[in-house]
Amino acid sequence: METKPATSVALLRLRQAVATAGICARQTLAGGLTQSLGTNLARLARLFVFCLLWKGLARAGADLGGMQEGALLTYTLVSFAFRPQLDIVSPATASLWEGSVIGRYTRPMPVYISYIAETVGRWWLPFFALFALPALLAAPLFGVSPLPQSAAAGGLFLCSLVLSIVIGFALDLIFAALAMFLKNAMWMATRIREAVYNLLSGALIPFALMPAPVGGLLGLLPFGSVASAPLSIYVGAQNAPQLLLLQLFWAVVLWPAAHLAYKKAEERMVSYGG
Amino acid sequence: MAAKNTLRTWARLMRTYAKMDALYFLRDTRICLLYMFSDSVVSISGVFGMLLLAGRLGQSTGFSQNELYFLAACALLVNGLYDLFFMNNNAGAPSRIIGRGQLDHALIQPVPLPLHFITNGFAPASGCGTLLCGVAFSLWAAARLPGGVWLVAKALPLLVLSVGILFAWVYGVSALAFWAPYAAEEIAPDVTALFSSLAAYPLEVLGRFAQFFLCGLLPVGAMAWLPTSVLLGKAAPGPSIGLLAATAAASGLVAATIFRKGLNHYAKVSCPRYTGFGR
Repeated sequence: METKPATSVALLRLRQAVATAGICARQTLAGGLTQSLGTNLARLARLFVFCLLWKGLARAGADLGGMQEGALLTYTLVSFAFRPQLDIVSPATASLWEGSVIGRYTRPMPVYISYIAETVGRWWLPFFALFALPALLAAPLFGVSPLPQSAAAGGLFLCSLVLSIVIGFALDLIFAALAMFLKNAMWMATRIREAVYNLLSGALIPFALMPAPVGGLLGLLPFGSVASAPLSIYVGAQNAPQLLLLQLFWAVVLWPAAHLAYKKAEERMVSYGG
Repeated sequence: MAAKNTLRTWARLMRTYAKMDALYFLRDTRICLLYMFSDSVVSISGVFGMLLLAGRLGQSTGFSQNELYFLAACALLVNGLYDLFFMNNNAGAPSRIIGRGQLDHALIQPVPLPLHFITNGFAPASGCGTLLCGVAFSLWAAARLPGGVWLVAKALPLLVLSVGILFAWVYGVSALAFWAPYAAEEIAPDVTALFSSLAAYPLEVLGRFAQFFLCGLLPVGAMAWLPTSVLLGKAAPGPSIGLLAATAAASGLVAATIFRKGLNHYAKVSCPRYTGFGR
């Protein structure tokens, strides 16, 4: 039996992923730019108020854990602008209660690639075009620098972001497995995930602002590696190599765990939807 | 007489929805308890940041550490009250009802629409998780303040106004789903997230204009900061309560106007949600 060379399989998968992402992006934007206007305005309002608060606290002489006002504002801005990458939410869980998960198993591509491509197309591209890019461009007008602390910090941030995305997809699959296990309480899995992310990721409140033992502990957990690590590197954290190594560790540990959990849970998958 | 009848209908509906919620709780207690737990965790996570920050920020916010705890507890109480009265049947997220074309379900009920909306979300069993956490946390926080636990009782009337403001904003913004059912279907959770994520922060550090903006025009400060400031004697009671009441009244009026316009639009075009992309 003839087998295709690995490179042609990889190219095929890439083409499939790009096509799926393109379809999803067009689907999301097909209703016009107003589709996500309300959500983006609410997001913008949150960003604006957070920046106001941080500025106010800095000027009132609050102890910001060694962070400068400018770094704190940049941290917050980048956290909002890269939210879809720092908080990976693929259709893995939502498709279970919608009943659309079966569609992923009929496509001529691995189900993981389908999830990843859909995530990129449905959420990343529209979010970047309609929120992240305008927010990053407009930020200097409000006294917030969108630039990394240095060129090196920018480069390391990109490496860290890639690792963060890898960990994020692994965590997403683990939560999808939990949702399959919980059956008709799967909505709860997404709620718990949302809470865990808010509590443990450091996306909204930098770990530097928290009490040192709490911040130190949270920084070691996988959620800390997802959001806090890349954001800290962006604003010039001194311990960037350690943060990257920790991210690498979580990526290596979590992906096999996520694969095992998902495969095990797949056997129990029940999805009625509607 | 009409007011008496309305009140009687309100009480009857609240009793009916309470009974339905209790039946849900008894039918699947395990799942219901799990949901209550997850809802509580989500709400606590919203104010947890403030708890962690309280020790470090302390006096520079104009609030002591214990006062910051009380502020966060009041924010949790507002979320808890909102959940208690509007959790079920998407009453707290009306954009979903409108956007999914389910408003007809409400229109065929033999009660006025506003009465339907303020009653059908009542969840005294499944929706009380956050409120219980809020009550426990606020009692604990208040006990560490000079006013003692009575502060919680004093806070309740003010927090009811805060819930009213949140309700008005959610309904006013959700009315956008009348014109853009697909685009605005999920806008109500965005509004509640906007308010609940910012409710626990002290606005003392901001200038007067920013404080007014965040208590009157985008009233996230009216959720917990303004009531807490009044109770802790950091703001003059008269003007502050006046501002809270005026914001509640104005928000309610604007929301009712937008919602009515949306209903008029709905009467002409209904909800084309399940045609291609809602067009």
